[in-house]
Amino acid sequence: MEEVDNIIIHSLRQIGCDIGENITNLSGFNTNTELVVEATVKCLDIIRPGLGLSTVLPVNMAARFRLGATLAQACSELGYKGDIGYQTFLYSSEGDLRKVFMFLIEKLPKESDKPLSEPVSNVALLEKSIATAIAQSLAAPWLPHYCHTKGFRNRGRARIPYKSVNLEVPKMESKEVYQDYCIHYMQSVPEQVQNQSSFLPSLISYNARALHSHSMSILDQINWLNKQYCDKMTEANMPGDVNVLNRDSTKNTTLPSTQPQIKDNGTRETKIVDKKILDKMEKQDLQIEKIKVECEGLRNDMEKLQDAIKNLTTSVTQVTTNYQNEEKELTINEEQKKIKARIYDLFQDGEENIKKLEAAIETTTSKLINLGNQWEKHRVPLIQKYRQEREKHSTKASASQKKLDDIKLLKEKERELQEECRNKDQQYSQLVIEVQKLPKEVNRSAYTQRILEIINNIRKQRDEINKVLVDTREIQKEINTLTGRLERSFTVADELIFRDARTNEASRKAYKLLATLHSDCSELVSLVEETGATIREIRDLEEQIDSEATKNVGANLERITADLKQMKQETAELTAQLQNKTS
Amino acid sequence: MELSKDTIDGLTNILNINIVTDDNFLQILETAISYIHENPMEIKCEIIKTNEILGIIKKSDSKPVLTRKVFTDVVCLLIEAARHDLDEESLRNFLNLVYIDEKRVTKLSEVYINNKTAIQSQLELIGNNPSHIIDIDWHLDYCVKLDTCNSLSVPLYHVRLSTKKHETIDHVTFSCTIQQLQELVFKLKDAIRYSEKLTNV
Repeated sequence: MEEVDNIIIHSLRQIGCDIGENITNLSGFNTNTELVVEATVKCLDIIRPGLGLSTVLPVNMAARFRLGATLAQACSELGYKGDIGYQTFLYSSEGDLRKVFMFLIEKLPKESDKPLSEPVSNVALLEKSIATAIAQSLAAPWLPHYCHTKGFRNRGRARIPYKSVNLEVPKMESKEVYQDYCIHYMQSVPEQVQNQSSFLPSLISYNARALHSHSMSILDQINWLNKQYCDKMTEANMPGDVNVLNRDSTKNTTLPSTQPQIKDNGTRETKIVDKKILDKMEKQDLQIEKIKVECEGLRNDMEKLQDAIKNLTTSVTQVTTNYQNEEKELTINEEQKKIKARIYDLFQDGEENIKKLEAAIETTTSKLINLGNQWEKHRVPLIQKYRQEREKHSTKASASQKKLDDIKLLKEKERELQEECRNKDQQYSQLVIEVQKLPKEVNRSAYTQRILEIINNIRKQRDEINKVLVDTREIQKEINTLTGRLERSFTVADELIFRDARTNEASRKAYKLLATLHSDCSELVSLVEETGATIREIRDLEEQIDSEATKNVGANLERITADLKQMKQETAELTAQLQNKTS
Repeated sequence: MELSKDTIDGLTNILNINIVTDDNFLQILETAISYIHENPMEIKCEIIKTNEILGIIKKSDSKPVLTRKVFTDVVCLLIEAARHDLDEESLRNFLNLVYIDEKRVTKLSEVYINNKTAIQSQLELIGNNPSHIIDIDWHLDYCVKLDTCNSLSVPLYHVRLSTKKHETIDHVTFSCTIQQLQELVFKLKDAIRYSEKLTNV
């Protein structure tokens, strides 16, 4: 029992109970109700957070009983099967306390049960919400279908199909006619919906349509298309048109540059005389007209000149092409002329020349044959060499192909190994984390050792008990045999003496003595048996006394009487207060 | 949450004190809420409500078009907000983007928060979903013989599932042997186990 007490006290200290060093077993708890209550409340707080019980024992007796009763109820709600009530905590006995604490400490959440880090990612959150939703619907008790009207039971059981109606909502910025229509003829939105159940769907559809619709008028669509087209076209046209624009701008800038100067002159003279101004103005106008006419003339001239230049350039190109053609013809004609001149030279003595030509042809043919032979001689070894080289090359290529394949295989293997390595690394890191997470219970090995020791002790004790049992059985047997022998020898002796008793006076006496001896001995044996039984009874009673003593009824009784006195006092006080109030 | 530009314009109008008076604002809100609340089954009340709305429209005769539009816009706003499950804070932020009049925004969001669950439960009733099994009847026949088979001696289960979709109750009937029924039961158990596993995330 001490081992159990040590474990209980150790775990209670771990959860933050202030247990003094001098308390080594649960019997120290007996006299200390505050400690019992504090330990129980702390255990319950950890097992089921949110009970909200105070760890301090109240002074008021009634409050004390209530606290004890709530503690007992909490324990039985947790699944404690034994007999439990307020007396377990307030007037505690060692055995009951031990049972209760063992139960509570088993129920304490282990460190591995604690939630690790809260999930952060969206997926984890979603999974969690799914889990809670499913848990909620699994936890709900069954109800017939006509009870599913509202709330989460109804989730996913739509009663109304999604049917929407096209709603017409008046627009603010419209023509008068439309406004008139809106005021006098258009039905209000709720009236537009014939079936009331499609009111909400229609509104949702209306909003969605307004959000995502494109403009339906043709003008808008054309504008949009044009915009798309323009974006494409501007990129393509950029380089070509710039020059044209530049030319125009240069032409224009030359003209106005003269005008401001003239105006400047005019403004100066206005300061001097008004009349002159008018003259000057007229003159200036005339001048401007003149200049304009001149400009026009110049421009016309320039255009004419440009046209002339264009004509001239076209004619130049034509002439050059003609020239080239004629030159080509000339070269062809010259060549023909040379050939013809040669033919005329040879024509003068034809026979000899023909012979010479034939001879020359023969020599050239023989030369050709010779050359052919020589070519053959050179060609054969070269072809052979070529073939050999090609074979060599092919063998080399196949070898290199094989090597390439090998390399590929090796690379794949390497990749696989790398992956394996990575997996192993991950596993290793995971395992390291798990090892770190694992609670470092040093106590465990000590406990197991102790448990093993206890088991060994129990085994020894069992052996001893068995030995004792065997001994007692043997003794019983011996006793039985002895009693049997005694019976037999007594009957034999009885018969022998009884036979002689009629004749012999001494033997009659002996017979009487024998009878008394036998009866006395049997009395003795029965007495011995009785003493054994009483001793056993005494032992039983002593054990009972011990067990009662552990419940320390006396002390508890004293405490109960004290509490009763206190309660009586309190009730008396309360009644006195009540009377005071009523009076 | 998104609303169309038209609706947002309407909201700007309703939040503007100069365009809609306080009384009308409250009336519109009240009617909108009662309209959403209305159980579609209760047609009698429906008619009364419609009349009330018409009454409002008549009362604010000066801008009948505006009132019609604004009513729709408020209902739209409430429904969309409930659909996106906005809390009071985010609705306020949204409305503050539209128009700044603390008093009306407060009133509107207060009304919204008070009726949010009601609107949501109304919205939950709308939709399409596969039919639900709500009940099951069965009987067991013992098939002794068939015209094609002289002695069959096979027990035969007849099962009728009652399903419910959009308030209409339907029946699915089928017959199966013991093995098939067992298979069905195993499948169902699998499904239950899977959903229980989902709860332990």
